[in-house]
Amino acid sequence: MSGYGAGNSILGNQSTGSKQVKPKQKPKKIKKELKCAKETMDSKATASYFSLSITGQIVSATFPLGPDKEFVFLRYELVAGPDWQLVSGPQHGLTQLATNKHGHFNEPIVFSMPIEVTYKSTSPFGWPQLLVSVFGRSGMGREVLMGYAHIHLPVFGSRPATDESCEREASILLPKCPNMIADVTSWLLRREPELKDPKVLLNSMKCKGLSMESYGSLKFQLHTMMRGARKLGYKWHA
Amino acid sequence: MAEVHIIGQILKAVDFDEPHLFCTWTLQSGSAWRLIQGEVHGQTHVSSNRLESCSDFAAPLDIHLSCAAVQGWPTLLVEVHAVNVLQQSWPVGYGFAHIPATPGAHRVEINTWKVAPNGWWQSIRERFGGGGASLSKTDLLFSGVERYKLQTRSSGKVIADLHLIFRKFEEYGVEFH
Repeated sequence: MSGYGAGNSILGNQSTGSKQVKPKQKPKKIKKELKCAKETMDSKATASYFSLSITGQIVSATFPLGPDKEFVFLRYELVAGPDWQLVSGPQHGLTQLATNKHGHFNEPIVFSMPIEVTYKSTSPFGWPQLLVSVFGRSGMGREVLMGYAHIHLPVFGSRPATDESCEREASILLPKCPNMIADVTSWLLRREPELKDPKVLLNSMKCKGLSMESYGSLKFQLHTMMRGARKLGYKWHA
Repeated sequence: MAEVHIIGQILKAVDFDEPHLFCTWTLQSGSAWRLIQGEVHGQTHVSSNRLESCSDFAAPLDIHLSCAAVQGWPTLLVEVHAVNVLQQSWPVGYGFAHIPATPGAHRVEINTWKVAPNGWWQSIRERFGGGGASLSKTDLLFSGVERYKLQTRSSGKVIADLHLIFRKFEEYGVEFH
C-alpha cells in the first residue's frame, strides 16, 4: 500500500484519491462491528418489536408402565406464527437414543436436550410452540412413532412467584387407527399410523376426527427472557 | 382500543364416565369485543388414556381480541362429547368459565354438567343406545335466563391452562385487582 502511495504521490489528484480511499475503508469496518454489537443491547426505543429468548431443556420422558420400545429418541421443532422471526438458535433438533432398561421400567428416560432460541416479533399472536415427536427404536433397528407432544414456550412471566420449579409437563399422544379395517391392516403390515404433518396438532381446526391415545409425558424446563415488551404496553402480570 | 391475548391449551378432561372423549370449545364475548386474529371455535381430537381415566387434548388456544368496553368479558364454553365404537357421539358435559380478569398464568378448571335422563327408558338409552339427551339451544350454557325446568347431573371437569396478556388497559383507566 505504501508503495502505491509513493508511486502516485507526484500526481496530486490521485494521491489524495488513494488517501481518501484508505481511511474510508477502516471506519466502515469498525462501524459494521459496532452496529452488530449495538443491535443486541443498545437499540433505540423506537423499535416496534420485542424479542423473546428461551433457554432450557427437554429433561426427560416418563412412561408409567415402561416404554414399548427399548430406545427412545425425540425430534423437536419450533413452530411460530407469521409475525415471529427466529433470530438465533436451531429450529429443529434430534436427540440421542436414550433408554432406561438398566433401571426400573417406569424411571424417567433422561434426554437433557438443550433448547436455546431467540425470537423477534411484533405481536404475541402466534406464540411459538415446541412440537416434539417421540420415536422408539427396538433392538432390531426399526424406528416407530411413539407419540407427539406440544407445548407453548413459556409466555411472559408465566410462572408465578409461588411456583417452585420451572418444570412443565406435556402428555404424549399417539395416533390410533381410524377404523377396525385400518387396525387389522396395520397389525398385519406392522406399520403404525403416523401423522403426515404433525403441525396439524397445533391447529385447532384441523384435529377433528383424529383419534389419539395418551400415554406417558415429557418434562421440560424452560426459562423466558424478553426485551422490549413493556415499552409496547404489554402487561403480563398483575 | 385495549387488547387481550389469550394463549394456552385446553389440557385434559378428567372424571368423566366415558373413556373416549372429544371437546368442542368456543370463545364467546360481548358486542364490544372484536376478534383480531385467531380462531374462536375448535374441536379437538378424540382422546383416551391407556391407564388413567382422563382424556388429554392439549388443544392450543391463541386468540387476539380488542375491546371497546369491559362488558361482555369473554367466556370459554366447553362441550365434551363421548364417542362409542360405532362412531356415534353424544354430549356428556357442558360447561363454561370466564377468562380470568388478571393478566398472567392461570389454570382454569371448568366443571361440567349434563342433562339428566328423565325415566328408565332414557337411562337405558343413555347407557346402551348411543347417549343421553342433549341441549337443543346451546345459549343456555352461558345465560342464566331459561334454566328452570332443566334437570341436570354433574359430570367431569375440563382443565385449561391460559396465559393472558393485556395491553393498553391503563390508558383507559381500567385496573385489575
